[in-house]
Amino acid sequence: MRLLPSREQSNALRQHFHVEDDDICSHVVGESVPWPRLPIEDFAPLRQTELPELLEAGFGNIIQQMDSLSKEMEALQQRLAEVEEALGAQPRCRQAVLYDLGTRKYELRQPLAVQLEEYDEEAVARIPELDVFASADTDSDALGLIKREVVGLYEELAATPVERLGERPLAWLRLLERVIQVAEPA
Amino acid sequence: MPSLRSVKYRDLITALERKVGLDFRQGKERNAKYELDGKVRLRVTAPKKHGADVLPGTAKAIRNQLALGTAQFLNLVNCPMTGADFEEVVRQKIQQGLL
Repeated sequence: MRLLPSREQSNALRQHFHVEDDDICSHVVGESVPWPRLPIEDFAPLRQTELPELLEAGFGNIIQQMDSLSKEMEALQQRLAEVEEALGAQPRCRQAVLYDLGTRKYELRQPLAVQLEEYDEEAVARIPELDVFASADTDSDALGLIKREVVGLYEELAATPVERLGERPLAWLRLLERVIQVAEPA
Repeated sequence: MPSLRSVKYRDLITALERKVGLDFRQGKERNAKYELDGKVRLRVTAPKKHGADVLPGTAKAIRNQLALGTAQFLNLVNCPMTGADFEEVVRQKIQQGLL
């Protein structure tokens, strides 16, 4: 690190303090540096005016870079938190199959596929083709509850005149009529 | 950034009842039908109360029942989407033969 003034700065100093070459007396290892012979208090204006500039030239860049790095770190931390949140929101998914509807009233002609989604705080059983779901603490509870939802949907649709069903509810009814039948009395 | 993890129970119920016009007291269990032009188009299940927030899996399932994308669903719950806007989305899907 250069602690002494450069030749240009020395020239500026000489002009500033109106000193001649004869007054210059300093020697530095490896380089002869002219220095005005002046009482120490005369350097006060120099410290006030040029020292901050010298410091800024030396450290200003580093400070700017550190500021920039700090902002980038902050942005990365924010992004990391978002990614962690997004990953945490992703459920663990698996397929399950219903073989009955948990009631003696109806039977399934064929098994019904259910999508199980396990989140940190809940398990959700869904049948996307029917737009029904059930949420519970555990996947087995959710599977038990979705059977009720399927029965409820079937009974609701069966009780509604067909002409009052839109395309999607009509598709639900057709699917349910294919897979559900009234159980034979024992 | 809003997500399905930040849906408030009260906001969702308010949006479903006031904007979509669902009445959960009439349906069986916690389900309500959405009718348009004299036909049932959607069936929506009310979320269970679990603290102040709706759990993300439940929010996603209700979003699917409403036939909305995530951004549309969050707009419905958090105010910008009006009941008329929602009806317009449903009408578009009816035209596409989806509802």
